[in-house]
Amino acid sequence: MSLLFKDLRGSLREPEFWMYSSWLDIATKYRRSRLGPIWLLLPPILYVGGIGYFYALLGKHDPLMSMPHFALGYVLYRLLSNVITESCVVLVGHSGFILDGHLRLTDFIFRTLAKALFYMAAALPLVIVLLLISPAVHAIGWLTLLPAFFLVLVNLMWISIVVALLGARYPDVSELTGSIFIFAFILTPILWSADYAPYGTPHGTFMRLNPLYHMIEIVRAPMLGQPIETLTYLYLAAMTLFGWLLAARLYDRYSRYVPVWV
Amino acid sequence: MSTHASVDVRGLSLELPLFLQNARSARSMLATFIGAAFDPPRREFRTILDDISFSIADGDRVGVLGRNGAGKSTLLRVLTGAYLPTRGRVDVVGSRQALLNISLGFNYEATIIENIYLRGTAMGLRTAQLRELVEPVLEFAELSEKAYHRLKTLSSGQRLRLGFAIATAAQHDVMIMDEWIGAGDASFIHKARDRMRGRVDGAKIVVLASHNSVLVREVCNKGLVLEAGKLRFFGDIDDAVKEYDGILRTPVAAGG
Repeated sequence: MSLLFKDLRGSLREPEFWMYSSWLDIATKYRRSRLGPIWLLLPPILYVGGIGYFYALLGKHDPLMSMPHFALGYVLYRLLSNVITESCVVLVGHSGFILDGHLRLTDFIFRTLAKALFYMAAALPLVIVLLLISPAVHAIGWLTLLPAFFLVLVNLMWISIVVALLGARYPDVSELTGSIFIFAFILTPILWSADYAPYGTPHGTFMRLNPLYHMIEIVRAPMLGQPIETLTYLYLAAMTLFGWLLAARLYDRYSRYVPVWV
Repeated sequence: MSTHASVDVRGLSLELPLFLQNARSARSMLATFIGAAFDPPRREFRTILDDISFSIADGDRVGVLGRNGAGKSTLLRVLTGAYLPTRGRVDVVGSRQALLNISLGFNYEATIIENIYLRGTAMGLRTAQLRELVEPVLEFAELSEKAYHRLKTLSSGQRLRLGFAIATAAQHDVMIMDEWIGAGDASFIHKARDRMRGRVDGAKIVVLASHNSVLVREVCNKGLVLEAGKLRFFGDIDDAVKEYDGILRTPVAAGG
């Protein structure tokens, strides 16, 4: 069996280290502040309640109708961007562990994933309330929410592995991803609706090349009762398959060199 | 654990890539500034360890001696499994525990107890084992009344004791330690020595790198002397210390 899948299974069977250390990182970060973990709630409130509301007014939409689109997009985008930008430096950041012989690198990758998921969980109550009270949300969408989100996580995982290995060898990767994610927030339909970039137009093609668009759309569109393009299914299926093949190949071949790189 | 621990190293050579900046004559301050920013480094492979062979048997405590830069830490990192040998082979039988970096994985904002859990999980202990770990660790580190203090508030000597106590609390066959141990005070070194000796009675191996030949002589029964990546001596500890003292008296070879 591929070393990657062996390590992944090991990390999942012994989750103590990456779970506890990620949780402790977050818990201790806010320990001495007056408001404590309430700070975790502030960014989602500001983004969803503030920017979401503001853009609804700008677009002359009913805020309750348009805010779920923004809220889901923002929460997913933040997860993707947190995990991918942090993965670039995760192996270098854990070089002490790695040089001490802690060679199951998936533990460190799970750490970034766990941290980003904790942050996401802090935003969830607000998003769920919004989805429950908004008339724009279709009840049937709740059924596909978990499977679709799982598919996103599966893809996020391989991206994280690939980016972590590349980032350990080339520090340039971290700079590149940092820049990409600043642009991508504007270029992904989060503040604007995908309807503005229809199929066949140049900007529509550009939007559909963006993997972030498909990863967000597969979760968000059913919730809002919008159809999912066949292209999105094909794109994600190909991405899952080839992504994992790539990750397994890179990990099997190069994870042994990581101690030399970090 | 009835298996006999052993470490067997045959013809080990290790080459590592180094990033080197070009030597350039600084003609002006401006040129120095621009050079620092834009000169791309060269990536070159250098031989760090050269054709090293030795074998350590169950019950041996080996002191690794050598000058700064002789390759001691690199050799330990090969033994932990981090670096793969470029040539030769390294066979380690038994579970390994490395203590190369004493502050590894500590969270300075968390309490002592939380840090014990944290380091315990990093060593791969399960939840039940963790709970049993706390008491003995606090006791050995003499930090029982500070259990709920933040790690930040401890002195560096206390952190050293805590790190050592955690790493040695769980039973492992092969212990690999770097020279930080010499940084403790006399009473700590005394306790640490007793613990390392006690541990090998359970048929274990200790590999300890240090400059401190007094400590090494007390703890170890064998010595390994490295000089510029080559094995100069491996054998009885007293002879090893003599060899090491001899190296220290000779000037560093040109270009070394």
